[in-house]
Amino acid sequence: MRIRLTAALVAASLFLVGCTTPPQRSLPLRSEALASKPKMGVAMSLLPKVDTAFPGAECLLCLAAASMANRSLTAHVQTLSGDDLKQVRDDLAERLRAKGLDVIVIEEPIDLTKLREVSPVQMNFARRDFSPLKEKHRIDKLVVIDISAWGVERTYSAYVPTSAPKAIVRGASYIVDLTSNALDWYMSVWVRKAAGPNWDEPPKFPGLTNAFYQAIEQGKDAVLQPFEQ
Amino acid sequence: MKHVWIIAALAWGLAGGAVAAEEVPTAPDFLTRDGFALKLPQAEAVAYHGAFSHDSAGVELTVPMYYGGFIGLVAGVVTHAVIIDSAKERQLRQLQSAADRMLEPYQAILAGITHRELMQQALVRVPGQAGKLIESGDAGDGWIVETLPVFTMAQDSRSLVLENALVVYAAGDPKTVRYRNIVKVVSDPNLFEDPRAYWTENEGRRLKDESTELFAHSLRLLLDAAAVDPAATAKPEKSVRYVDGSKTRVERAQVVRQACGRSVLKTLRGWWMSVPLPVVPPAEPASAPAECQSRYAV
Repeated sequence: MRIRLTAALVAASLFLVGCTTPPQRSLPLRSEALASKPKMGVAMSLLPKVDTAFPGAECLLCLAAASMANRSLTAHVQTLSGDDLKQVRDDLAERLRAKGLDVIVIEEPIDLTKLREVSPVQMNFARRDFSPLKEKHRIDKLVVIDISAWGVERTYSAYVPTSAPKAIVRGASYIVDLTSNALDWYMSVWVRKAAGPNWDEPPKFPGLTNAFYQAIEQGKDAVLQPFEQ
Repeated sequence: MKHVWIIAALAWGLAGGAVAAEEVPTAPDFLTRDGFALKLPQAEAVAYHGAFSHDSAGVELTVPMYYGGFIGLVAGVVTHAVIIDSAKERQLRQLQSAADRMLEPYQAILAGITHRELMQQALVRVPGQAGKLIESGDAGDGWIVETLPVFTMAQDSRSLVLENALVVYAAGDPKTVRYRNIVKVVSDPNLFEDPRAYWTENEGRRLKDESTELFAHSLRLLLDAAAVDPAATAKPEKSVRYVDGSKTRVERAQVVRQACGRSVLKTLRGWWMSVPLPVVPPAEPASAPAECQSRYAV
């Protein structure tokens, strides 16, 4: 009986551990990664919609209440243009060219969900199979700027907001070796900017709008900083 | 500490709270034409604070269980909201209080900076105007400018920022506001090796002088609003990078004009803002043009 129980617990533990995929840790840019002057591509992933999010409002009714309470904010946030962010791709390509690399800018955003998922997941390797892009674009390595969420976030504890809304830009930037699918560099982008003491200014929410553009600029700086001369 | 919040609230109230861009009235050209009287605020001392960021503000509390059906849910949510609001307010007070501690080395100087001294000396630096100072209880005559300056110093003492709430009305009719706005001026960065010694030297002469310069500049911007091409309001908004002491910051705004290493902006809130631009080293050292010889000349 005891053996069966132990076996069941071990199996359950293994199952539960297997469910959690460890997040990719930061990986500093390896000096040798660009030393062989590989042909580089620079691309952005498909950008998500600029939107609001209410983490902590987890029950359905809580989420409905939070969405209702912030509907004018959501309506405004969804009108914001994130065109400024797209410039970072060209700026990054310029920085790489300044290092003497042959660089192409991939104009079309990459839909990462259309790339095959890699299994099992390995630390310091891309979670999707980027290798088909090697032939398609005739490049050796690809810099990916992957924005996973942007807009405005307001934290909740069930029905009650625990903070003022804040502008966010979240994602990651990384270099994939298209031959091995290994990562030469990986950096999370995690920017959160407040509007200051006053944010509730409908219908145009100028303070939060300003914070959103500040977050974009800070996100761009974070992506470009490792490639400073 | 309490007075800090009262002053902040007064400043915000004086400027009408969050002024949305489309609510900002037309520029006060009548001020340049007719002159004005600057009314002293009731408070004697000028407000100074230490700067802090709201980026990390917010409280983390565990989610309570709500019992007792619908009534229990409502009562639980209300109680929960009161607890969280009180925690948020306490946190902001603590953040401000902690930020203000950096002013301790300056307290003796700051205690001596009065609105009267600041405004008297600033009016001298507003050329071509017959601006005069009147007491807070005086009705005055002509156009009255009420103002409430609040200064914020960076934690590393490398910048001083003025937020000046301004209201303009005709003497005897303070309820009919002709113009209301906030003018924000970010000082040139203090690049001295020991910024604190720079400010406190000679009984704080430089700190007093910088405060006066910023205040005078905010008055000139108020008056200059008349001279701005109305087409300026049609300029596209863009993210403008500027220097705030040792940091580079961004403001989404329309660039009204740019000269002498500074930019005058119209922010998304409709505020006027004067900021130092990031310094791009010139290819060849050149002396500043004549119009840029004095500071805050833009």
